[in-house]
Amino acid sequence: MKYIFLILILIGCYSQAQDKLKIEYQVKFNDQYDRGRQDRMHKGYLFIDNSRSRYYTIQETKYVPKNENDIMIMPDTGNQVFINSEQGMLISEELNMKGNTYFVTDSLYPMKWEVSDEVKKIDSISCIKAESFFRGRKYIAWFTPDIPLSFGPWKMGGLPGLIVDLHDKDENLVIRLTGIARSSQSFIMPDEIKYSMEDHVAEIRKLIKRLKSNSRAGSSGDCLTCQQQSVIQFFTWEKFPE
Amino acid sequence: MKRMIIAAVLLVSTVSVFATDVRKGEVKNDQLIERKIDQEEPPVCTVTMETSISVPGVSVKVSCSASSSTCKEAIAMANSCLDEAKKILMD
Repeated sequence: MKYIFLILILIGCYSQAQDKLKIEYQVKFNDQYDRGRQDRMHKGYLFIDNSRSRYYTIQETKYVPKNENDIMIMPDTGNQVFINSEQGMLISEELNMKGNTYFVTDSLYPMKWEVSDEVKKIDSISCIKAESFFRGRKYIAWFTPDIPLSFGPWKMGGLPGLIVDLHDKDENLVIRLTGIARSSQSFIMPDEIKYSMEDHVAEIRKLIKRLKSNSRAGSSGDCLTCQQQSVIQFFTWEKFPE
Repeated sequence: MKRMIIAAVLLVSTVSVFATDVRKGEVKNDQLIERKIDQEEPPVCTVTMETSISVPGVSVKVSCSASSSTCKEAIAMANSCLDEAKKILMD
């Protein structure tokens, strides 16, 4: 509620001067997507500096492993995405299973939005509904034309207004704007890019192949009656066609 | 003297019959053991272990099943399978 007045003031003065903004989101993410549920809360931060933006999340709820073999490698700041809309550039920070982070270039807003006539107020902000299918998941976004910025949380955006509310159809990811303020914080776009998204996906596929071929070559021990079998399942939030 | 010879022959034949019975018994027992080995399946123990390694956006679940004549051996095999998978993913 305390944010509402601030949001309204900012909407009012937004037209007067474009400035650096800090937008806060409440993020709920189900880490067990496609195989169960473990919803955890995160804080999402979106910094906008004219045509550039930086988004990242910080976990509020810790991951609870099911057992000692359930390993979650979680950086302090996750899901980091940089955008330069002037240059049509999106850079996301990825993490491999060794715990190393690296930057990947991706397409800027490749999703095709269907903007509907549906309108509703979210915390006194007038929002319009838009839907899109992006990398295997259906997303529903509510954006406000009162803040005519094409930015949004994570890789989502490209609408004629800031995304206030976003969720996927199964509510594995639910993001809602909780605050907006002027910001003096500046950021630098990463310049050491390791992969394009295509190369990044190819690397993941290589790893899957290696694991599978290793499981086929698995030994059956020294005894004749021994047997060994392994099943490997990969789950990715963003789904890419084979 | 004649009585002594008869007694001696009877004693030897009794011992001989007794010894034969014992041997027959042994043979019977051996056959039983052999049959037992032929008929009985080796004891089997199956162990399934899972590991899940996740980073934001990507998760891998590896499930290893191992069967052996002893649970100890099956556990060791399943563990080694998991270790191998972890090594590929994390090293």
